[in-house]
Amino acid sequence: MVNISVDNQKIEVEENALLIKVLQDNDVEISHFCYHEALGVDGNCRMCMVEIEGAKRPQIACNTLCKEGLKVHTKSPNILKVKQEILELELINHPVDCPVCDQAGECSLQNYYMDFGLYGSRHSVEKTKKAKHVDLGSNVMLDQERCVLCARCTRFTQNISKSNELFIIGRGDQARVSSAPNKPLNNPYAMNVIDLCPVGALTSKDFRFQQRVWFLDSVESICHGCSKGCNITIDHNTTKFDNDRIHRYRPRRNMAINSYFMCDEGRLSFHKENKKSRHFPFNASTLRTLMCTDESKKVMLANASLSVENLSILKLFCDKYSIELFSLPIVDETFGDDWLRNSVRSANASALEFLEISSSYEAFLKAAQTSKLLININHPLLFENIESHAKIMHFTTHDFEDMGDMRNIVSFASYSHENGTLINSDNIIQKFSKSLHNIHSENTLHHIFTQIDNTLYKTQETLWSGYISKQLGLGFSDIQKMGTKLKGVNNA
Amino acid sequence: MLVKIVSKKFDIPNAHTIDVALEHGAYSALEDSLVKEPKELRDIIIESNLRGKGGGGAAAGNKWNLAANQPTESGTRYLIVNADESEPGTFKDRQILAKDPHLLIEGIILTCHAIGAKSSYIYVRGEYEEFITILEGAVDEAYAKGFLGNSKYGNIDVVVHRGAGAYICGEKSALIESLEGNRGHPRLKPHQPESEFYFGEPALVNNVETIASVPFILENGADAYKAHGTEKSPGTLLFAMSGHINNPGVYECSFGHSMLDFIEQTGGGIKNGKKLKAVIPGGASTPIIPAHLIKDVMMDYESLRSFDSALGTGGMIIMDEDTDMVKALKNLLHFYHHESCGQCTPCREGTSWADRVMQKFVDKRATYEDLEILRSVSRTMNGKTICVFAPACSDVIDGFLRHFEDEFIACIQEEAC
Ligand SMILES: Cc1cc2nc3c(=O)[nH]c(=O)nc-3n(C[C@H](O)[C@H](O)[C@H](O)COP(=O)(O)O)c2cc1C
Ligand code: SF4
Ligand code: SF4
Ligand code: SF4
Ligand code: FES
Repeated sequence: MVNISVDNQKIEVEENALLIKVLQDNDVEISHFCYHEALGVDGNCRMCMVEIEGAKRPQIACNTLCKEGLKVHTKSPNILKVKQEILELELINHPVDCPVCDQAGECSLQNYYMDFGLYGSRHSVEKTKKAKHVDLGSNVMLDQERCVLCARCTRFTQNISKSNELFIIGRGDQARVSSAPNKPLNNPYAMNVIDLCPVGALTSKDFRFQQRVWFLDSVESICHGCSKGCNITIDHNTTKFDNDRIHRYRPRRNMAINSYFMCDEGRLSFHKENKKSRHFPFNASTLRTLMCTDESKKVMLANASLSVENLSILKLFCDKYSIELFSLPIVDETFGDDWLRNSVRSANASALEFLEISSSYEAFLKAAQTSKLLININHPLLFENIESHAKIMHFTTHDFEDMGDMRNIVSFASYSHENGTLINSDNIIQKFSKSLHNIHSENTLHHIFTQIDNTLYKTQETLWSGYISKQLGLGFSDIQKMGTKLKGVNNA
Repeated sequence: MLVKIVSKKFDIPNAHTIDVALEHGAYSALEDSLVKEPKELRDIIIESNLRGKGGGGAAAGNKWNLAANQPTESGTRYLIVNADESEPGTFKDRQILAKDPHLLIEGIILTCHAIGAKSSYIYVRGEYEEFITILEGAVDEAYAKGFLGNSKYGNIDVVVHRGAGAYICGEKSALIESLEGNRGHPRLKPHQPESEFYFGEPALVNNVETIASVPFILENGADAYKAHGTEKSPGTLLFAMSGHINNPGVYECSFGHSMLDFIEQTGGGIKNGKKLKAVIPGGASTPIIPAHLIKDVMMDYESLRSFDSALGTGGMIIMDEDTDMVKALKNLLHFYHHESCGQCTPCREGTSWADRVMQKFVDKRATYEDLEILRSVSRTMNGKTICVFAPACSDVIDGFLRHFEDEFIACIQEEAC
């Protein structure tokens, strides 16, 4: 460890730590475009200039290593002037079309101009013209004039996705991002370049022109697209005469799981969340008669993406009324890769073992064939192939094809409408939060089943303290912000 | 004043062919030197004080030691000869490529031995087609005669690589990037002195003329080299003269002579009997020096420094009294605008803005604010970029404004009336 001082504050850091990282970790504002923890140092934007005592010239923080006694100034008048001059150059060929730019409100260029720019324009010559509507592929639109050439997007395709679709062509002020002719941006993680782009040069075809970002409310959540459990931010908003709607998912940093990224399929999976099912109300006494009174054999099949809380309430319910509970995780071998995407598509598949819910397909088939009642909780397996004359009951979050006798359908709220926890493929348990607040919100599964049997744990809190914490070996409040790794099932 | 060390065979017809070259002493330094320890050769170079002739004037021996001592697991090291020569006003290296390529090859064999390299590359400016043909012919001959490849001279391989026409690929790290097949973008400077790296292995980059000076030094000893030039600028340089001069060309001259004498005696004075106005002393990137100072300028690194300029490559651009300094700067800024690699912001945007503002001066549309813009852009380009391309451009602007501000102001005032 060595001692350095930043703006006259002493900080103890690892020797040779990267100064820009130290500043970020200590909440010292440091303007920058090109440096990114996941992409490393490139040193091209020159926006991270700091003054270092004893150095002749200003230095870039992203290429400065911390040594004993390093004295750094990030806000001295000299350095602010230097940064202002570099910013002026950054903007000299910029179209300044912020009013029609989707990045406005979350754009580093705008922020820095407001922080330390604020100069009057001295521009009196023609600007460099470049292409403003380049469809790079994979929903990514490029505006070359807004680009600050930080090379984050190109470095992402080079070093992270390793698909090499993007590069910079041309020299000097003619330099611009491009893909090769007939080789569009095409990889399962392509849309991450949109988040990486610090300005409005890369925008999402899916999101652009939909919302001004300052109208959006953000909620921290977990992607339900597969068992990886990538951390996300759900951006949603209620506009006039419309429901609360999700407008985008963005990856949220979690170095133990998804670092800064997520896959495109997960990113776009919010569209399904906006399409809720038609409203099929439930009648507690009818359901009670159906499921709780007679002694005949009953089987329940629950989707393994349901939260730990929902699976637990089902488990407690089924145990009490001798209903055989199964949950079959969905597996898609074509989906998984050696990075984020996991072939086990069910977000909470790892919870089944902790909650002692059977995931045996054979056992399920056997039980289903002799069952008098089949209860499907949002599972895509619709029982068509099962030879049985059982009555079928559906609890669903979304409309599905061939809904048949609609008297047997109950709709319930999907994950963006309630709080919950998920256990990912590495046995890390993570919380997600309710994001959508509609006036006509669906009932949660928990609510429905506690209406059927009001002796069950009424709230998530009591459910946790009474049941779940025993099964998992930790309490709800033990779950860290970035998730907590569970010990194996047997050690729970 | 004029000496013949590197240019010894320049006047001999067909010296680029190996038979003629051998007749006149080519490859004669090999026998004696290759039996010496590499370290001994490096010590002679350090002793000779040989300075890099690609513009920077860095001590060659230190660089050789860095390359030779840089740890490498595979044991592979490379020599890369910089023949990109693309700076306006500089045209000395091509004389070596065209007239005495075997001197360069001999230097390569010796340098490889001294730093422990087996493979070397000559990165030649793409436009030098004619000279590339000659050079490639010479390399083939050297292979055929057993100087290169499997031979008693250390199994050295030479690959001639053509650049694709970017000035920035002359910058050593950009050159290596280009050689590796990437865009010619200069690399960030290392945190401590170290060699260059080619595909992760230690590499030495030297200018053509630097390497071509090696055979003489190793054959005749450091003192023979130091007998020419000054204490701090020993030896000779291929000085080039172009512009308004009666005898433009490349002349090998020892360091430390009067620039004015050189212009008048060797260069034959200013064309058409005009008066001298200014000299850009060492390739486009060195700050201009006005005539009234030239009489005190000596042609060595230290003297030019003291005039806020630099010796650079010794490629002198001579300007007569009729030269329009506003147009001259515009011409140069057009070059920098065109050739910036575009990697870092101050340079990418600064060169284009400065060039466009200069157009306003040429068109007599400029204002005092434009003069201020030139100064501030120049300030922002200086000392804040990845490589010294932008600082060089900044020095060029500052030089013109320092010595010829009145011409810029006259432009502005012409607009006003
Ligand atoms: C923009 C730029 C262009 C350069 N072009 C050349 C060149 O064409 N030839 C050259 O030998 N050195 C050139 N250099 C200098 C090289 O970076 C390097 O210092 C030199 O090749 C080292 O050789 P030397 O020590 O033998 O001079 C250039 C440097 C810069 C910054
Ligand atoms: S498009 Fe965005 S991420 Fe890519 S280089 Fe330009 S500014 Fe950087
Ligand atoms: S990898 Fe899985 S969890 Fe991550 S974003 Fe994609 S679908 Fe969602
Ligand atoms: S100073 Fe100019 S030439 Fe050098 S790296 Fe930066 S942009 Fe490229
Ligand atoms: S963040 Fe340091 S130069 Fe871009």
